Amino acid sequence: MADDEKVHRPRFFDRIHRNNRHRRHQYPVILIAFTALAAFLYALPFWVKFHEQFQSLSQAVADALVVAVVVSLAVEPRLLRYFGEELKSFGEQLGTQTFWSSFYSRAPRIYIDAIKALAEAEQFTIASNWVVSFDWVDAEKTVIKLSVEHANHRENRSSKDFAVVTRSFIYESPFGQYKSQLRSHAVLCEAIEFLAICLRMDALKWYGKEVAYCEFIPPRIRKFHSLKFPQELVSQC
Amino acid sequence: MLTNGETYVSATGHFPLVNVTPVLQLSVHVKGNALSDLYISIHHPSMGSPAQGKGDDLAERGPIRIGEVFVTGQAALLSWAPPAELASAYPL
Repeated sequence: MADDEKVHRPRFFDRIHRNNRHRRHQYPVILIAFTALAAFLYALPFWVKFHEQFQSLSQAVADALVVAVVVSLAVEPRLLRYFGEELKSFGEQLGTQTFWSSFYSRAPRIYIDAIKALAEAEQFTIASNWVVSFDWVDAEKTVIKLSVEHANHRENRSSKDFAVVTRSFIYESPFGQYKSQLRSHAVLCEAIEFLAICLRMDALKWYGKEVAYCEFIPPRIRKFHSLKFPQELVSQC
Repeated sequence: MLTNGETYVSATGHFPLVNVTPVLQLSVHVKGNALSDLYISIHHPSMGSPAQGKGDDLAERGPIRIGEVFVTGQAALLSWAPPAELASAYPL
């Protein structure tokens, strides 16, 4: 890792990596201890004469320790990775990451807690895709036209409404002859085959318990529109 | 939600890319005829600068995925400057 990246890395992530290193160091120590104990139990009857029952007991414990070490080294990682690959088909990397961090005993505690919190979240953004275009406006190459397209794909798995809150913005242009503008803001919901083109901020409102309303006022028309949808459909948006 | 806007900026600047809900993935795709004259850098709180370089090079990469799963939202900062300006600001 480059030095400049270290400088910018927050303490939160330093703590994660410290915990991770600590766990990684613990793991081989435990395996070595198990192996040494098994070897000791195997060798014990050659040094000391015990009752036959105790000898068979120590032999059984040694066998169990060897099995545990072999499973931990050879079988467990392959098994976990196999299930992780299986989960890929459901949610690509998300499934794998969730699986590994939730069930992998050596994953950092902070990361496990974060993934659990995400699993409890019922309203979230699946993907936030930005397309930013830089185009020269003048031949002297002093002014750039910055076009920003943002697609926010959301999912609502709860019975509550997922409020449509417009937090989109665009910087004001510092050049008087060139004006900035928010060209379009659209809300598309495939579940109810609904598309609202909101050309004005705060033009979209959702409210009501039994029935939800969607209101939008296109500024060019200046005419009030109200659409009415069953609650179970709106909750999917 | 689909948002489309435009503004005018100078050859050096930055633009925040912010989501305040839990986000599973965030991607940034840069394009345009000014990229050949710009050096682009994308900064992320946990990743430092996951993508940086000549504008044309980043444009060829298509959508660049930034960060991982974030419960408290996702934010990245897109900054740009002409290479000559960077050379004078950070001389070798």
